[in-house]
Amino acid sequence: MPREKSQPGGTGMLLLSLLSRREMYGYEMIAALREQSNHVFDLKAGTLYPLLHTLEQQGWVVSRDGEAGGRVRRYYAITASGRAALEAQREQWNAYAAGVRGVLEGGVTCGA
Amino acid sequence: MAREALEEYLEAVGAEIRWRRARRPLLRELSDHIADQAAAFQAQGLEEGPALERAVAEMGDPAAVGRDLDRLHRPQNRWSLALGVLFLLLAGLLLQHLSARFLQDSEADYYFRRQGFGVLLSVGVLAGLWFSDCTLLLRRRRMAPAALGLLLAACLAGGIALPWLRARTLVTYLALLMPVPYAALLCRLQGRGGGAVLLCGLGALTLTLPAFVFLATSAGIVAAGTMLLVLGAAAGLGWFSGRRGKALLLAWGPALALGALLLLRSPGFLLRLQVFLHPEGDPLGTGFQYLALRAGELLLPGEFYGNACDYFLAFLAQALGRWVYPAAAGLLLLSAGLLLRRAARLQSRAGKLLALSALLPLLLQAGLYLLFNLGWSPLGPLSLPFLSYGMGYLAVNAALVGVLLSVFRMDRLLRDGPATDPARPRPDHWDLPLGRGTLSIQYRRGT
Repeated sequence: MPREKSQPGGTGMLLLSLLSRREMYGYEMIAALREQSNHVFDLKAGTLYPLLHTLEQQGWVVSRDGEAGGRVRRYYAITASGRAALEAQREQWNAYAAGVRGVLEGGVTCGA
Repeated sequence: MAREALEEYLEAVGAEIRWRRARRPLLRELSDHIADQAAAFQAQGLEEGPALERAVAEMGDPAAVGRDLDRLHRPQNRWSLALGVLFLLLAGLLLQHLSARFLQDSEADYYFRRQGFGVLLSVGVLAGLWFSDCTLLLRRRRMAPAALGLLLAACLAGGIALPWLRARTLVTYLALLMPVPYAALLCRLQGRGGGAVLLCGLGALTLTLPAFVFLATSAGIVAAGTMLLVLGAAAGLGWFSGRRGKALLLAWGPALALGALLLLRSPGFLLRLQVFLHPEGDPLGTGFQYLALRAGELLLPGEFYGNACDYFLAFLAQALGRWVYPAAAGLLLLSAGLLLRRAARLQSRAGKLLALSALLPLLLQAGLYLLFNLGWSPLGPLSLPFLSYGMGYLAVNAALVGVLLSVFRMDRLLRDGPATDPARPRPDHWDLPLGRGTLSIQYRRGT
């Protein structure tokens, strides 16, 4: 997986976050990502599936074939190690985002 | 026009995926996505054709997608395991030659040639299954029940038609193969409740009943034990609905109680158990053998029951020293640990169950053989996999390793989920030529 995808704030973290709420299939994930990010993240399917398969090989998600409306779809669900990875990435991302915000807003002066 | 665009897209992706078996499931996932996207565009007011064309355009560069998928989906060949088995097969052949000289067998050449043929046959069986598509066992609804039914029918037919010694041998071989289709059948029962678990536990006993009837008790216990362990693993992996502890209790409780009851009502087994527990009470029969093996005393030709190949470790220990036993136990535990760890790392739970069903009969056979040679097993040995004499055992064990290698190889493609029924009518679908077969794509209209 390219480094930026497994880093805090990368697409991998966003997918893990979606899957931490419920299991989903690929199309659902793209639609949810687009909707929840207010169209900021408009992932191509060609990018999504290799990324999902990488997360699966890392043991962070598992997939199963499930039937819906007479069709077999491949559903993805987060694993315990995936949740742990998500939590670690979330903390790193929060620290990073707080740092960036601090710089943009002029920083905090000690003793002020 | 739109369908041509879809076909071109999938062909372009498929052309980048070198592993032929991976193409179909990967392209299916992409085509399902396109169908979902096209349906969403149709719901927004587009006509079917333009909706499909736009959905294809949304997918991105097919060559880049194909290259990414190809990189992630390569067959996982475990050459070290295959080479290990080959080494054991050749070592077994050498041991056959040496033991024939030690026992001064007049038919040594015949047995050596027979074992040599067995080794060739085993390599063929192993390679054939290794490169076969084990996902078929999960994908085809009828395959696992049909395989189990066939094995059971062959047990019964062979048991009735053949003389008892041959019948026992045949039933032994068939029983050792049963856990694989049994595990595949379990894979179809994901999410089922306690009733199904209970039936699966009792089913393991029922399937192995012919082994007990035709006096292949060791094979019956190894096969039933494997099936119950696989069922227990399924319960532990959360394969069934409800609490895992309850599923485990339902899987093992009634089956173990009924199995113990049946064994304890078998006069033959009780007699064997009596001699095993009190060998001094039978100093001229099997008891003598137990006492000699436990004391590590030398057994000469004519002084033991059964075949000389059942005592390979005892002979070796008597020639080289008692350290042979801890060394053999250590090797067995190391192999078991490595292989079980490898099985536990498989992506899908279905893969884990299939791998266990092929691996456990091998490990249990080796453990039973070791205990028997130490004089601490009330059951007779089956074989020391790939080392002891016997063409049938070689072929059966090679088949089990072949299935195991195939599961490892196909790891990326094994999925948990329902089997597909090719006979089910699928309206509004389109068959796309793909390799030597077709990829059938089903469209959904609207949302």
